[in-house]
Amino acid sequence: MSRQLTVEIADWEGVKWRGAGRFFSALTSEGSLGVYPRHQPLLAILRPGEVKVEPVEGDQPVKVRVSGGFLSVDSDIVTVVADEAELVA
Amino acid sequence: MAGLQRVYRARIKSTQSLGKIFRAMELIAASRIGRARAAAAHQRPYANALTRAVALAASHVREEIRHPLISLRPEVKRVALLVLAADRGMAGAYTANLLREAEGHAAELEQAGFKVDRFVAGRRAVSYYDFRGVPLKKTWLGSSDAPTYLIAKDIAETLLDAFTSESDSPDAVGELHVVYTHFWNMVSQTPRIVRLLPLQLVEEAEADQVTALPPVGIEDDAAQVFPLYSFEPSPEGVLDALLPRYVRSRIFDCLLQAAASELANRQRAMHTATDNAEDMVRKYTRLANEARQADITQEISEIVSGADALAASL
Repeated sequence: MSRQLTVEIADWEGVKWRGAGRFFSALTSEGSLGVYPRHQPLLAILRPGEVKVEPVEGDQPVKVRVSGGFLSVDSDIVTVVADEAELVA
Repeated sequence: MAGLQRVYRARIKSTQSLGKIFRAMELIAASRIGRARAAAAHQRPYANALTRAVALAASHVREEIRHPLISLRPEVKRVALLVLAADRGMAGAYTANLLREAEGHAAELEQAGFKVDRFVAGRRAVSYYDFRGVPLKKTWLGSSDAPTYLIAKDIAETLLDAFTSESDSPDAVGELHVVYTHFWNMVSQTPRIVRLLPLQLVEEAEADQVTALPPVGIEDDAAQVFPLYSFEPSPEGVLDALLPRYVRSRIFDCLLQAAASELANRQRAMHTATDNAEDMVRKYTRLANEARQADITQEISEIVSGADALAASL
């Protein structure tokens, strides 16, 4: 089993999505950002847009719309703290 | 006399129906506390991640951090006092205690030569100040027992505006103090004053009488050495974006604490009121019984003495 990402997407109402993922992408202030396991520690400001996670189980990517916030990556733990987050069905 | 009996019966009835109302309010408050505490728990992952990120970004800024939300503004002799009180009464001395604390603090500040700008949430506190003709800068009403993030955002934006405005503007304030009721647990809630702005990122020896917030991230991250992070756009840029959010989240936390405290106080006050209503019903029932006995005794003695008088006259 290769390494995987632990992703947590939260806003002030609570945790919106939490789970294991293979790949994670988001729109940051500098542009589009993709995260695979073993990514360098990172703290980035999010732009309004969609955050995408490819979960370990299932083929459908999980999409969450965020209205801004920030994102931290540290030892394969990805934490998205959004101002408002909404799961896109 | 039968009149007295009727009075007691009426009192028992009205006390009973009041007791029912108190009981209902107690139950409502009890069920809402659960919700308020759950809201606080839901906000925690957000707040924790935010606190950690602020500490992290601050530790990566090389030079001394210069940010408007951190720097002291000694030239501005105005302090914003944010008072978080209740919208409704029926909560014992909740608002009274809070206002006493707030006004004590305001008096201290005024003695120290500061002007105090009051920002108030909660109808009870607003009417207190209105009655005394104290000017208020801004008020928020209607959500003291179930605060939303939108209210917190509005409050935070108003106060951040005041704090970051030019020092010669009439709205500018040099510090922000928050008076709210801290929810320690179900039986203990105490009014508390914290200095929210300017934020403290590093511990500094301060002989302030106000408890400043603990420096960001000191609790659990003190011993932790952060790995080398990269930042987008830059440590300063990240800090810039994070600090207003941090303030907002702190204010939201204070609002949630105040809401939980208000509900706990209301539950306690209503519980006491229910007990008192029951005591009164018991007391009035005794008095009513006594009155009935007295009536009966009197009637008997009237009849007996009437019969005696008839027998004697025959």
